Amino acid sequence: MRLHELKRPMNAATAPSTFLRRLLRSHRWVLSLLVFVLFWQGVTSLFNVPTYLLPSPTVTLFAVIHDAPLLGRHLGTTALETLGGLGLAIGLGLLIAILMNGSKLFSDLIYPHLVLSQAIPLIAIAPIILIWFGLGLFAKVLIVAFVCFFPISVNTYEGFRTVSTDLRDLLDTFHASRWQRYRHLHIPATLPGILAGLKIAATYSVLGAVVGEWLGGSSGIGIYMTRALQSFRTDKLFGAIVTVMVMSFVIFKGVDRLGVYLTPWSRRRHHE
Amino acid sequence: MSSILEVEGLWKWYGALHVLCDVSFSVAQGESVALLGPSGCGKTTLFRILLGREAYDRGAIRGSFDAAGYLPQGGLLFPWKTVLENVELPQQIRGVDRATRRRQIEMQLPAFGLDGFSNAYPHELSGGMKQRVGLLRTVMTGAPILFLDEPFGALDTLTRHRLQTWLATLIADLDRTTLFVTHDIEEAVLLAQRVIVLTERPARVLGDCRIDLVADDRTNRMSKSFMRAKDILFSMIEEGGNDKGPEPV
Repeated sequence: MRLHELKRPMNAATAPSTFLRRLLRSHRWVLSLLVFVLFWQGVTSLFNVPTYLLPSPTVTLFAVIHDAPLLGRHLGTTALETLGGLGLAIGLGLLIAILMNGSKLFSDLIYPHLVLSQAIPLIAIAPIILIWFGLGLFAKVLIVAFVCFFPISVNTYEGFRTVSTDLRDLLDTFHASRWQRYRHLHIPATLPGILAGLKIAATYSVLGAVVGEWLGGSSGIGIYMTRALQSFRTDKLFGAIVTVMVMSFVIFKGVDRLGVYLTPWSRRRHHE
Repeated sequence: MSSILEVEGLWKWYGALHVLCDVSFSVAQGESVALLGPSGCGKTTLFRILLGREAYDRGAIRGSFDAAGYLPQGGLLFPWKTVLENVELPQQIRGVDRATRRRQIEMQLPAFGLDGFSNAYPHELSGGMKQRVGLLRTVMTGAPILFLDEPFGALDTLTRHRLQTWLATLIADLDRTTLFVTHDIEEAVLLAQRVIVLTERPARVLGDCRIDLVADDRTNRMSKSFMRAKDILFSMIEEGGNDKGPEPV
């Protein structure tokens, strides 16, 4: 075969579909997930693993389908706690970052406490919050906010500190007020950092809600898990775990899409 | 002609680093003045002092203007704002209503070669276009005096030549006081009615040279009078290079 024949482009009939290639490239993770599930199913079937030890993916799926109405109700409670806590964490995190950026004294007083607060194990602080605020929704929202506010506030504050001094000087020549400086410079410049913190927080948020429920309450995925565990229904426990994972993923992707929407300037590419 | 800006005996140190040494000059209303000096001589520091962004150690500055338009080096656009949003920012901050400011900007876009690019982001523009957006934003401040810091310093030679000629016409049409810093002798002759020559750091005034060229000679870089003006400035820089200037008292 001659070299020019080797270089000849494939015609439409021989080339794989562009759509399929694009789909495969953008959804590689689906393939890896599929491989993992097949491996899991293979191991449980091949070695005849008892369901109470490791239920297969199909058994887990059946457990989810069977308990769908009940699981849905528990999921609603967890979603409410998660989103409420995440919302509170965003508000609190941004407020702390703005105050720290505005006052060196406040930053010196608060920053070490922020870091120390994260040294407290969640399993130790969550029962205290439940003792103080009861077993209801509000206490769970507070637990989620406690877990989530740190990455948001620190990422935002560090973003504020690295804002271009040249752009700040330029805004000063326009006689921008403090609020205008935040609106036109600090917040958009820090947005990628805030969104990165929010992604981390999004993954922690469901964990915070489930731990809070695990320790006490009447509704939520954590409660469902506790009951499944106490009745040795490992298939239902795995079903709840899968549900929590899906929920975390959906929130994470939601934040990701929000980031794309809020930073249109990073979507377009160079023309030159 | 009355002075819009007077600088008298300005001294500036950064710790032990002596940056400005007894710098004095004045700028008349409507004049276009170049501060010409080698890179790193303290021109940008002088600009920052004039804009009130930096303190000085000795001397006096008297300005009879309430606002100044400032074009920093490289144009300095906000990456998250479109061309239109970048340009309208000074007016938006001043509280000019959206419809009025957008109408004014849309009228100016063709003159700045930006027609059809109002919704483009800075990373989608060439270096020359970014610079023109920065210039338009500076002009749209409506300030009576414009400070341009090395307006075309970061551009390639061809683009720089083209934009220098364009800016020379623009400055003549704008009828505003323009003070700009440059290390390019040709740029100074092309754009300025007066050139204040600065030494290497610590910067001090070597000479104050009026560029009296007829309009055609100003834009013709090969004309005799253009070349002669360049030679005068060049020899001024060469001869003044060894003069160490006054000692601080």
